[in-house]
Amino acid sequence: MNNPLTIALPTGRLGKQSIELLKTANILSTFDSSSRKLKILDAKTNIAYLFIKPSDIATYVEKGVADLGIVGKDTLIEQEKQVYELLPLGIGKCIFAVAGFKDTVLNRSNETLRVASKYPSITKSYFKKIGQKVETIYLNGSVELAPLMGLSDVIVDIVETGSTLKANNLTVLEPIMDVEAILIAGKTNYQFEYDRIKQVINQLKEAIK
Amino acid sequence: MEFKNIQEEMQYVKKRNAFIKELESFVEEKDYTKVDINYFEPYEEFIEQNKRVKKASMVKLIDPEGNINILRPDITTNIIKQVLYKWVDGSQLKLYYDANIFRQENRKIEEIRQFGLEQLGYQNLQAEKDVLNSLTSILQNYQIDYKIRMGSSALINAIFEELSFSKEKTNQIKNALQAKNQQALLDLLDQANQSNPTLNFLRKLLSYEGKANDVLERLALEPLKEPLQEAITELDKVIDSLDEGQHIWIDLSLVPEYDYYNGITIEGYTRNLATPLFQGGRYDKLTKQFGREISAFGVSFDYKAFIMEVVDYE
Repeated sequence: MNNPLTIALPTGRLGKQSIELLKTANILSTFDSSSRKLKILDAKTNIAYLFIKPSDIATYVEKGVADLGIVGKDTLIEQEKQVYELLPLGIGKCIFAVAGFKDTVLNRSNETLRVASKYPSITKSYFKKIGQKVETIYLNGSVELAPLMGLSDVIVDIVETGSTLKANNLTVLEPIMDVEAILIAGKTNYQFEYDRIKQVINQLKEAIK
Repeated sequence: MEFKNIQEEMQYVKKRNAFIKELESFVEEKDYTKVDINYFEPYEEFIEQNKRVKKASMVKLIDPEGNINILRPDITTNIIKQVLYKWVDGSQLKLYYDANIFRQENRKIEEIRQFGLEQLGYQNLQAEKDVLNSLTSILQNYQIDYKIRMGSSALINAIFEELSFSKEKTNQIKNALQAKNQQALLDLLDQANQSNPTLNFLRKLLSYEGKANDVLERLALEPLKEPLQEAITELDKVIDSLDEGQHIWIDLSLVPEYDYYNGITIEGYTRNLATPLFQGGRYDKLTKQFGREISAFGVSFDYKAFIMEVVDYE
């Protein structure tokens, strides 16, 4: 038998949604959700799965360790990896948005706007587009706290339901772009595993319909 | 690469040097001459010619007069400039090089060693045939398991010339093609004219990948305008002329980082390497930018990766 095709899946909520999707598409036959293994082999379909922190998925795929990966567009867009973005999967849907206290003014001509975010590239490119000078404050989490404590004027973050924003008295001021999970492949592995990758794509397309 | 001690390292260096000598005599037998490459390029001129190359990736140096130069990020431009101002009509040159290029990545300056073949002044199809057949025989001599993707910058250029998008949109579309991102491509072309055949062809461009013969058969059914059709015919002729043409993979979404290509382009992959092992194409358009259009075709290897594929260092 050939080497198994390897798919990198994110840990966390998106990972659970990915597993459901892969099952619906008959790509994954069984999955033991209680297992703590980081690598499993589905012998029936000859596909191996790696469970990886979302921000590391694109690295595994770009370097060719995994043939395919499922990753949120939000994570990918910050990393500028050389990967193919083969299929939007319709899961992990949310938006990138500028959020802050209601009535916060974003366009401040010469005044610098302070923006806290886990996503500095998106932040810079969005405010460059609208012509507003910014100071980007990089944070690793609980970004909503920044405007509350006066660390920043606004935040740039992904917004799924908006409940965290609401609980902290914040609101979406300007949507930036839609985000969802996508299937990615590394350039070399795409050439060498073309037929099997196409097969996975076709099954996923059927399942998403 | 790590070695236990200096003896082990010298053993490897000997093997590596023997391989380099062997490869150089192989190409010299085919009449290629080794050339030296200048280290510097004028920054402004270079970015004007290559709009999609990341400015942050270039290593800048300021000379005593305040001019910004860059350490060569590419060899081809360099060779053309050296050769072109002494060019005499009817000249034919086969050149090769072994030189480093420089780029800033991950907050450090990377030196990337390249080995390349260039043919200048030879007839169009002849150069493609000659260079690509030499390339495949080198790969086969060293038993490298490779895949070649071939695209056409002539086709890409003709499409964008006809559709005349803004610079920004052109770059966005090219990036979507490069990432094989069908959804982004459709979104970018959403509001554009639905009845234009070239635009409809662009919407489907990502589907044109696969074994050369299959893709060419499907392309024959497309109603394409003259310059697009010419590009496909050229692609067909090149593939037909090659010893290993049946193994070539056509991929019309191939958009090289450098904008100066204007004919067929190639990218080659091998199992153990995440980035292309070699790439190249036809670049007459570059020579025109330096004042004189001559036939020019070349390929370059990621030489360090190639040496690691070939020379056993265990």
